[in-house]
Amino acid sequence: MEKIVISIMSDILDIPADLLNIESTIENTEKWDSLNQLTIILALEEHYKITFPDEVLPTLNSIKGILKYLEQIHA
Amino acid sequence: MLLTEITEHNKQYKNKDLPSLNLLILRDITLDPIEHFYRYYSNLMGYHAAITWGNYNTIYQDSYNLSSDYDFIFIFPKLEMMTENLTYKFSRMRTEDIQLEISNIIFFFKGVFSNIRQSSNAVILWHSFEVPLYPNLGIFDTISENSQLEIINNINSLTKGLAYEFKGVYCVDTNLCQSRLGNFFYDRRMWYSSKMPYSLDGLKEIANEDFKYIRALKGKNKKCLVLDCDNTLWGGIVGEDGIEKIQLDEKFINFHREIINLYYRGIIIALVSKNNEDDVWEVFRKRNDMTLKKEHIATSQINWDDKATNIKIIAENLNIGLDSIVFADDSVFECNLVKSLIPEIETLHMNKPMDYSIILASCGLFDTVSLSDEDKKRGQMYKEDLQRKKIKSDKTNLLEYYTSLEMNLEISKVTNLEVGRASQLTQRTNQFNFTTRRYSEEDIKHFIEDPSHDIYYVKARDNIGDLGIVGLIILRYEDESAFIDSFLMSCRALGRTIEDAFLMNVILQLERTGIKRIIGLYSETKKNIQVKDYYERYGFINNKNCWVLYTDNLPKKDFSYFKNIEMRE
Repeated sequence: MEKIVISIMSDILDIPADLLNIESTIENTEKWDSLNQLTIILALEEHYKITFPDEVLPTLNSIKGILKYLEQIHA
Repeated sequence: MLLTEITEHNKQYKNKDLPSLNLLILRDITLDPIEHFYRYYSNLMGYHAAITWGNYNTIYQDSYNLSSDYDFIFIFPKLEMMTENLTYKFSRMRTEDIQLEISNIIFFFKGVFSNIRQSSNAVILWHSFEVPLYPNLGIFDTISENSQLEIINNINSLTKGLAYEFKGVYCVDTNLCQSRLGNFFYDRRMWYSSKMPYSLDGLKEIANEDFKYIRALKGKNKKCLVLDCDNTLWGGIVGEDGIEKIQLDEKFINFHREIINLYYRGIIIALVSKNNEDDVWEVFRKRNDMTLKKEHIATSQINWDDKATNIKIIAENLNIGLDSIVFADDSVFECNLVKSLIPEIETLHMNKPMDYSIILASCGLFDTVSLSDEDKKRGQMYKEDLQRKKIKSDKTNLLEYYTSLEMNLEISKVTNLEVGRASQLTQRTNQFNFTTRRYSEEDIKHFIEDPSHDIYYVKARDNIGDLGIVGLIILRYEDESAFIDSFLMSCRALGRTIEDAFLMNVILQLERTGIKRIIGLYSETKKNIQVKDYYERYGFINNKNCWVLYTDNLPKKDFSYFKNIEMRE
């Protein structure tokens, strides 16, 4: 799942996938800003056929946060 | 297509060498994810989108001092951001206050459009205001006069009226997008967190609608629909099930109706089918419930060869580019095969019969920004053209062939009556077009009024049918010189010297008015190579980047095989 999320994000942010890892966050990653964040959320929702509840949105600012939610609903 | 597929596609296209399409987006709202769709559609049209975003909620300020490089300027105003009164407090508003709000908004748009026009000729795509899904007055809104919905629609119409006053402003009907998706057009989470009103599907719908305009205005709209037969035009396989057994229920009838709509919008309809040809035409002849008729079909290739080869033959017969064709088939295999052998073609995969008509209606590939009487007759005219070709192959002597056509030409200056067709010819002609300058109806009107310009059309008729207005010459005068700003001919009129006679008659007219030099221009594109040497062959003298003809030394040309050429003063 980590691999898929990183691949989706690298296409959206238009950066090589190896610049992203489990520690990446909106603060420490080039091009990842609040506007690209909207696209990331929409793309993940469409890909996993889910809707993030609005209270979860603020926790999706890091790859850890994204994976935590996705693993939780897929568990 | 999924957003992830779109971003992956965009990444692959990133390093391709394509001309850029400069887009500026002015907005009251957040809608940044839409740029991935704009990039995708630009790539499909053969461009790289260079996108500039205006700041959030600063449409007016951002419309000042624009760079002149933009090709398209998108404007996304939001009623909620412009007037709290009309959106949230409508039930409290008095008629005079409503009127004041309306005039403020119109004044605002007038300001924005004129600001833009001071520095930029870019096409403006202005997005209309959406009506609320739940009006302030509930059902009473529908009952009352001057309802909230009516007022908002009224503002949209007034702005549309304003758009006609300024050149090149088009109204994108956001309400149409909204009504296709209803509540799913919006995403309230995103509105409250980021001031982005639209859902992912909403953004897709808007981008798709925007690019219908861009495709049409860039002359990239499609001209011909090539249809498979078995399981596409009818259910079942005629060769196996037989004529009586194939299904033609309402799903197929509605698909036929949509095809016929395209026929009357000037789209050429053709068939490609792996079948015995007689079987297919027997369906047309014997099944009374076939809504689509043989007369709608301009040409066909019904045989057992592969479909890509057959489509190439159709393109050649019709004298149109393969990138002007859309191929529709129920088989994924056939769609993929054709797409892999002809990458420039667009394919529509017909999945479920109940979706056929909506697939065709929603694709937007054939959309145009104008519709002329010629369009309504085009299908018929292409059919006649193929008859002419048949006669041509029967006649060995070319002069004899030309004479047998009994061609009549009418050459005249364009008047207000022909403005629509003239603009359209500049928009859609790619091959016989020396400069490929696209002109709007307003531009054409300007040429008519401006004494330093003249614009001539040629209308053609022969013993097989009426071709209508098929060519245009736009002239710009400077002292005793006339520059041929544009010279273009519709491809279906080529191959019988109408262009030569048209040009000569215009030249003779110029000579009579005292013009000494006629200067032809040529700007090369991928599609207009065929006219590269035209001026030279005609007798013009090559002079650096242009071609010159002196009216005291005109080449002798004989057009006596035309039945009649009428030059109207």
